[in-house]
Formats: sequence, structure tokens, C-alpha cells
Amino acid sequence: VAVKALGAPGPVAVAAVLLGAAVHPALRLAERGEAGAAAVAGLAALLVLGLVARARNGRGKLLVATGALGVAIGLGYDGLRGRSGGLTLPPGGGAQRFEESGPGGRSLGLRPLGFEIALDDVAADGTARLETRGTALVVSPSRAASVGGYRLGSPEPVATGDARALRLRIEGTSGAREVRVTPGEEVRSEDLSVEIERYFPDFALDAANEPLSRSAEPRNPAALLRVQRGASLFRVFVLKAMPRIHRQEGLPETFALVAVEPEQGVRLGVFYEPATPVVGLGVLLVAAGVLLGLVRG
Amino acid sequence: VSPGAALAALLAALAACAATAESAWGRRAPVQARVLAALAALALLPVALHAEGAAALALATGTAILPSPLGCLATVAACVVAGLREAQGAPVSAGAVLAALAAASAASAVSRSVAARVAAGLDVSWIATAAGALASAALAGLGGGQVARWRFALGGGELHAHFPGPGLLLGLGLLAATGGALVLAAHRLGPPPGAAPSALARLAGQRLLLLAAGLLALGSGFVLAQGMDGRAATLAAGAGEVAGLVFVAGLLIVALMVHLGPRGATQGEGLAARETRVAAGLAVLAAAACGAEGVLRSASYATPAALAASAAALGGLAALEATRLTLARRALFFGALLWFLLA
Repeated sequence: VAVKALGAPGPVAVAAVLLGAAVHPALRLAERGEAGAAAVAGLAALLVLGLVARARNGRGKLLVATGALGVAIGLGYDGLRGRSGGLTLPPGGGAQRFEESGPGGRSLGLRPLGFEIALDDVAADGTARLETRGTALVVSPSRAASVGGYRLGSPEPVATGDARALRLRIEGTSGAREVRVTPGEEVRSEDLSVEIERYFPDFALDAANEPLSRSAEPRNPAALLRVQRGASLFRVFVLKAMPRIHRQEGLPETFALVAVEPEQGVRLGVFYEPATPVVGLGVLLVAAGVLLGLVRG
Repeated sequence: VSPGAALAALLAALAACAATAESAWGRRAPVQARVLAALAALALLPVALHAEGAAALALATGTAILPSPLGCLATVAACVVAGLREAQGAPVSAGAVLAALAAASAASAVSRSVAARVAAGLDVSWIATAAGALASAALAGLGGGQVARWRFALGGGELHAHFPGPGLLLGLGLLAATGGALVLAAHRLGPPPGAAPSALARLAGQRLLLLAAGLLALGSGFVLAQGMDGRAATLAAGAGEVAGLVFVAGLLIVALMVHLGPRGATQGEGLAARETRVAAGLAVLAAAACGAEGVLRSASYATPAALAASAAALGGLAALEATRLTLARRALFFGALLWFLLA
């Protein structure tokens, strides 16, 4: 009797409105921990029970009930057996595990992917060229990709805290010139050789006046350079926000950090949702059931 | 801002007037509204290659088929979003197009339900009261939720910007809309049984709502004008909120036109029920399309767009039930679709 009562128009309408409000992104009830997810699951169960209770009242209602049941089973299966999380890949680096997250974004630790994936290159918009199992793969903000049952998508470029290259402006008696210096490489400019000793993407000083980087983002980039002329060695500090702050005694040239090419990795969303076809088919059945009501009144 | 979208918004606003004020536009008002909405759709063709433009085009086309005041207002709001976000060029979404068609059908159903209730004797001051209350609620939430403090802001992070002049206008609009809605509600609820409602209260309520509509229209215009002066990215980020303001201002104007104008003919509830069913079916298909787009583009069906479309589809299922509060459920369904399209 209770199940039959759930199939009355009033309870079905109330359950549908409440479930709609609960899943709406403005409320995000399912993302508010396990209690929120349980509330959404409870409302969905009430709605599906109500729709199934009156499935005999016509073909349209039968289709709607079957579809809703399929959607509920699919979502429930993905909720229990599905997995989601994120994967951060440094340039040239690979990974075999991803950081799994649970309801509300709670971290569940590392989970094996079952394959190795490596980042070849990442563009400014996040489009990533990946390599896995000997094949190339491209994931862009508008196109996800499938590997080993997982879907990889929503790529976002992330700063690693290192620089791919620095552009320096050197002003001397013979004029000004720009050079591009890459870490670990000595660059010659006229009779000077320039090398990066340390790079700070977000430069600051700690309580003991020791230099540090507050974050990996290039918000306040600075670098300590090793400059050599003949047998003389100089250590020159450059801060992009304040060009030419330091003059080095014995070195007529001044140095300014003009631009930074930050080294970027990529962060990918990782999803394993095996019941996606069941959910999709269920939604289509609901639509067919609703529209069938037009024909059958 | 795209000239096509601006022209389409103007045409859709005229179509809203035509669809509302049948007596002023003559017996052929629905035809005129249909033609104006179709012209708006034509004007939107140049922006139809990006997501918001395609949705606005679908909404204008749906409104040309099923002309209604709410559908035309929704088209104006969608044109505002399309015009302000044109530069972002997001790919066309089948889910958004289906939801726009659903919104046109749902808007027609709500407009028809309201007309049927007015024809059946519903006091039109309740429509103006509801529009005033909705305008108050929207103003309290839009623009960073600080309109009550005479401040209006759009965008987040680096794009965050304050609009001081419009903040003052919209704050006054909030006061006027709240006051108008309360006075009109008191006008209906206040007098004891058998006593006539106060004509003075009715007049005061009408004038306050009229003032609110003017202030909202002015405030929206100033937000657009100030935003286009070097803050286009902020406007694009807050396009949904600006469109919401424009929609609410239009809703107040339409409600006052219904309140003050003579009654038009109505085609009854039967057609509204069928339109609701069409809208609900399209909303469910929109949810399916958004889920599929989520899997293809973002690797998961549980994207914010798919969740918003699913919420609207559930609202559609609720609106189909033969039980109480039919108009409220249909209005909620239309609101959920509009939220999806403008957010």
C-alpha cells in the first residue's frame, strides 16, 4: 500500500522537485559528504519506486519507469564501483597511478591505473599530447580520450615551479641585448657567459632573510645568475618586478629579467564509469515515455 | 557586443510587447509576435556558430512557433548572453539547443496557464505581486548579493569589478519592487471578508512596481554601458547575471501590462498541458545530450551542465503530474530551464 501511495501524482511530483533541487549545481547536495549523497540516493529511490508503482497504467508510464530504474541502477553502480580523481603529469614524466577522490572531493589515496601514461607536451590551453602503451593520445579541453576503460579529460596546465627558459636583458657600454637562457645550460653573450644558478617563481624572503618561493606559480619570478667574464665570476640577482635593482661591483653590465617561460605539466581528470551506456539508455527511455504521452494523451 | 544579438534582443523585446498587449496590437498580435521572433532568429544567424548563439537562435525559433510573453523575454535574455559571450566561442551544445526549445515550449505553457487562470477570474494583481516578489528575490541574489548595500559587482578573481552607479539604481529598484509586491499583497489580503480592497493601496503598489521596472531597466542599461567601456571580460563572465536582470525587468513590465491592460482571449489549459509534455520530453533529451557531451568533452557525464539539465528534466517530470499547484510547478520547470540557459 505504501509503494502504491508513492505512485500517486502528489508524491511523485514532490520527489521529482526535491531530487531536482538536490542534484542542481547551485546546491550540490551530493558533493556535501556522505550524508548529502545518501539524501540524493534516498530521494532517487522514492521517485523510482513511485514511477515503478504505476508502471502498469500505460505504455508511456512503463517506459518512464523502466528508464528511471535503468538510470538509478546505472548511477548506483557507478557510485559504488566507479572511480574518479585526478592525475598530474610533469613534462616528460609518467604515472601509473592517479589520486582517487570520493564524495565531496575527499582524497582516497593513490589507485593503480593498470597502464603507464606519460606527458609529451602541453599547450597553453591545456591540450596535452600523451603517450601510453606505445600510442600517442591527445586530450584537449573540448575532447576527452579513453585508455584501458578510463576516460581522461578536462586538462589544465599546471606550473611545476621550474622555468623552461628565462629571457634576460643585458645593458652594457656597447648597448642593450637580450638572451634566452635555459636551466643547466651556459649561454655566451659577447665575452660573458651566463648560467641560471637558482630560479624562484614566486620570490619572497623568510624571517631569516633567506630567499624562498611562496608557490610554484610564476607570480613574482626572480633568479640568481652565475655570470663569468674570463676568470672573474659574479653572482647576479634579477627580479622581474624590479629590473636593475642590483649592480654587481666589477661588472659594468646591468641585468634585467624580461620574461619567463614557465615549465608546465598537466592535470587531467580521470573517470571510470562503466555504467554510462545504461544511464544513457535509461534517460532515452524516459524521454520516449514522456513523449509517448503526447500520442496517447 | 555582437550587433546581430543586440538587434535580436530588440526584436524579441518588441515581440514580448506584442505577445502581451493583444489589445494594443490588435487581433493579429500573436502573428506579429511570431514574425518579430522569426526576425530575431534571422538576426542571430551570424552568432549561431557558438554555444550561446545557437541556444538563443533555438529559443527565438521556438518562440516564433509558440509565441508567448515569457518565451520572448527568455529570448531577450538569451540574446544578451549570446552577445556578451560571443568572443569566448564555446562549441555548440546540442543539449543547450534542446533545452532552449524546451524553454520556448515551457514558457508558452506557463503564459497560457496564467491567461487561463485570469480568464477564470484570478485577480491580476497577484501576477504583478508575484513578479515583484520574484524581482526582489532576483535582485537580492544577483550581482554578488550586495544590491541591498547599494553595490553591484560582476565576475570573480581577476575579473571582479564593481559598478557603483547601477548599484544605487538597482538598490532603489529592490526597495521599490519589494514595497510594490508587499503593498499589492496587502491590498488583496488586508481587507476583511466582504469589504472592498483599497484602491489607494492598489494604485501605490502599481506605481512602486512601475518605478522598480524603470529602475531595473536603467540599471541593466548602465551595467551594459559601463561594462562595455573596457570591462568586456567581466561582462562576459557575469553575462548570466546581466541577462537575469534584463529578464526580471522585462517580467515586471509584462506583469504590469497584464495588470493594467484589458484581458485577451485564451486557448485554455489543454494546450498548455501538451506544451508542458513537449517541453518535459525535450528537457529529458537535453539532459541526455549534455551527459553525452560531458563524456565526449570532459570524460564524465556528471558535469555541471548535465546536472543542471537533469534538474530541469526532473522539474519537467514534476510539472507533468496531475496534482495541485500546476502553475507553480510549470513556472518552476521554466525557471530551471532558464537557469540552465543563462548560467
